[in-house]
Amino acid sequence: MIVSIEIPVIRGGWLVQCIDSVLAQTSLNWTLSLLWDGGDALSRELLDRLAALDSRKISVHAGERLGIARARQFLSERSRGDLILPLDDDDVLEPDAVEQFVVAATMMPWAGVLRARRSFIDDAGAPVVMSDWFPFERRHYYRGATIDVANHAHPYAIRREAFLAAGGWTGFEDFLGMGEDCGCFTTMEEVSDIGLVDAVLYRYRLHGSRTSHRVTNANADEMWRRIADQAIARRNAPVSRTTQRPPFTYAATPRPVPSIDDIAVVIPFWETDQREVPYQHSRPGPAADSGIVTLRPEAQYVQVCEPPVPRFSRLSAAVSSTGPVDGELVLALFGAAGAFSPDLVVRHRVTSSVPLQFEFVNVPVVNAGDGPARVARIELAFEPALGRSAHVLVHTIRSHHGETALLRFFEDAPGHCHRGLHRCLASLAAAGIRRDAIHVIEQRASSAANRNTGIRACTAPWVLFMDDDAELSDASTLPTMFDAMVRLDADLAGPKLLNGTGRIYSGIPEVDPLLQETRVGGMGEEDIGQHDAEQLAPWLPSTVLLVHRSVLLATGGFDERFEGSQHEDADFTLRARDRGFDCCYVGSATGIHHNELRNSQFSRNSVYLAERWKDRPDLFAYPLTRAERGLRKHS
Amino acid sequence: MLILTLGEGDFWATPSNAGPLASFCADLLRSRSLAGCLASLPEEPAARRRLFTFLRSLQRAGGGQTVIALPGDRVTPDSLRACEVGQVDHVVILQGTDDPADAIASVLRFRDTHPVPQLGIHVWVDAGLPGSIHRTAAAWTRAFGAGIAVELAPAVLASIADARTTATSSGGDRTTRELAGPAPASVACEWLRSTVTIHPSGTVVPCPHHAPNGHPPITSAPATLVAAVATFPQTLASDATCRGCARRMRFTIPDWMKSRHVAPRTGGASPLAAEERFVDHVEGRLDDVELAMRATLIEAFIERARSVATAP
Repeated sequence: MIVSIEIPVIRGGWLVQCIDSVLAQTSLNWTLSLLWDGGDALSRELLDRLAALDSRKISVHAGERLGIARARQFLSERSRGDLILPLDDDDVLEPDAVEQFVVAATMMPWAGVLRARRSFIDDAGAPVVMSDWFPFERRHYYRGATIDVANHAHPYAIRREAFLAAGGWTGFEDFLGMGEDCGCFTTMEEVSDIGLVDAVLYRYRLHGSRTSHRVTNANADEMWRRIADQAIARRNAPVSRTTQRPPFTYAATPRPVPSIDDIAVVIPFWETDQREVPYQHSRPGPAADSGIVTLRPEAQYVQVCEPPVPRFSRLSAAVSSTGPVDGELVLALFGAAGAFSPDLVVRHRVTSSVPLQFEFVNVPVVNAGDGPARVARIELAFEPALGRSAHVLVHTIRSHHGETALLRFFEDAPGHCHRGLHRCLASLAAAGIRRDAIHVIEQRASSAANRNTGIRACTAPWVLFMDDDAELSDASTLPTMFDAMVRLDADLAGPKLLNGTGRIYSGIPEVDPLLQETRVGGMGEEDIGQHDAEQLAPWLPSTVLLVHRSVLLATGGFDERFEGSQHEDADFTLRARDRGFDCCYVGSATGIHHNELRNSQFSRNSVYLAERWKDRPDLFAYPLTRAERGLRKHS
Repeated sequence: MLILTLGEGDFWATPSNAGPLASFCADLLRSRSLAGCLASLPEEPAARRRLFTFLRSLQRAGGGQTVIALPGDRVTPDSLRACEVGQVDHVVILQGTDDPADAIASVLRFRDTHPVPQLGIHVWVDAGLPGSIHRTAAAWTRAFGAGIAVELAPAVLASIADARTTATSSGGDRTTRELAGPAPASVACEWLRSTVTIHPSGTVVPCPHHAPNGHPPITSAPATLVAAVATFPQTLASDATCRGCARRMRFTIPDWMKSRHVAPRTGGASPLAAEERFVDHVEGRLDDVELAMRATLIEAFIERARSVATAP
């Protein structure tokens, strides 16, 4: 990872110290870009001498008073590093700044901006002991609007992909092009997040000719107001600013009563040409009925199928592990329950660098035709790779018939998922959604990427995300969700989800405050009204998820670092809450999820989610309503 | 406080000088409760044996810790092994601008054969050669983590290299000029508060930055030296610049040297983190500097940039 250190130069007085601090970096993974922006003669002389070095590591440009914002844009457009590290010509970097930013960028892949602390020095370079005049903490939001727009300062490194997505540096021409850094933070947080690196990596020089002296407090307040108001407009945030100086306060603006015509629908579609074979124990039940069995080379699991399962081309087995996994899941299929020799043996490599957590491992049976027409017995074993000793656990369900493995079988059925999609579209049509408001995204990409593609294709004030294997139970589902959102003053809503047999698939969403995990509530339970509540929720699944457009604009949509599917919806809704929006669960509305289980990446995504939110335990508690929050704040 | 013996060691090893120096060291160690003795490692095996014998005699006399200073380009598994066999408490690797890769490889090979070493290994990164100081410190830290203490050298090591060059080129008999020796590069104050420096010529070197003229090198008898040493800090520390020097922390000796009874140490967090770490080559605004000096500073700056920016 290369860091592009970029310095617009107008003063030569401290430029040597500034560039020396770059030369002295502990990591050599940097390039230095300098732009002489019509500065003094000394700075020109120094840059001319550096240009004469003809180094690929140091590039020197000359401009004519572009101003700070356009100068930064000029440099960022010409540099190529993975991280952009802006540096002022009178400041210095700590020697490990590059190294620490690279480490932080690796550890926080979700962060588009990495911000660290700074200290102060005087014009002779001596330390000045003082507190920073800007906060160093996570940013705060109200319904998508940034409350503390002044919560930023040098040093920070910007990931180039976020920089490109956000559009770069813009300042205010009537303020000498300044405001570019503050504005940059607000545009960056619309496409990614701001990560904090708790280390001093920058020394800010206090001297009489600082550029910031040219800005009065009144001017600074005016710039912050403009930046905040521009952000509100860009994000379509349903608020208006009520104070004049940051941290700002905002008031909610009335939102038009939503109607079905205000909804655009985004459906990621994935055709597998496979259909699930009915099998009694294909779905997890209540926790009390579940169990686990250890699979080792010498300890197989035998599943007798009564009645026998028809020939299948894919088997999904729910497995877990206590550590990384590398080995083969061995599947022996028997046509008769009492047979000695299997009719077909299938081996499937299972590798995971993280422990598996209730992962449905898909085992393709490519030569199913060689196997029995009906499978009466299945033996499962796990053979670790050479030199490995890990084992895996297969999940089971206990019933009065005994213990059976949690397995799902799929048979070839060309066009089957299209039939599911048509079922989904039919339910939307029945709910009054126009066909031209529905965007079906059919590309072999992750669920997050597909949904983001859909978001870009629609402009309606509300977006309904639906899985292609889901459907609305009836025409009242969406109006009921709208009513609940208005009552609870929420911005995102999800209904109760049932599976194809009428049992609960996802009830009231749950969180574990200690483990900081998100879980669906009530999976496998009989639906007897225990999940019919309407309440604010800590997170929502995206199987059927209604979202106001402002949420998408303020968060940048789904995080495409989540592979396949699973957990990207939890992350999205947590980010929405981080941005000051509320999620509501509407148990009085119902959706149906047939769950074809295609590209799940449960465990890997779970680890990423946990790492992403490990510093935010506040989001893993059941949220208060806005009224309750107001009362608590008041008291 | 530590007795610092610089150079190749041939001064103290010659029969005519070894006696007075040993006597001086013993007096100094006893009278001022010094922490120990630091010496450089001679190339010649017989000189090495004499040095180790000398250091062991100091240890037996309660002379505190014994330390061998090894320039980075002279670190080999054999030299480290020799120090361990010689029962030296510590080895300090003097890391200058040279690439630390070879020295690191040597220490790694030594560690492979001595997984539980009795020898404490420290790295002193040259405080006088910024531009590479942090990179070389990081290279050592990456290679060994907390396994080796990487510290900022309490003095500018470039002077050691200069002194070695002079000593090597001068041959046997020394002239007066050679005895005075090259002045160490610019260093700051608090010099004698923490370190007594004995030049290869046998002279005690005062703080060269703030008292280059006030205390000419003293070549008197050990007893006089001991008396004179006590007066140095009084004079030096009275200087306002000296008291306010931002770099004074650099010249505070590492904790492991402060006590006479500290066991050999092989690890610990790098004190670099707690110290003033960045060296400004230019203090204050460059455009306030007089023109001729400014040109010199710019030339030096361009050279530093060239060395980093044009490296392969």
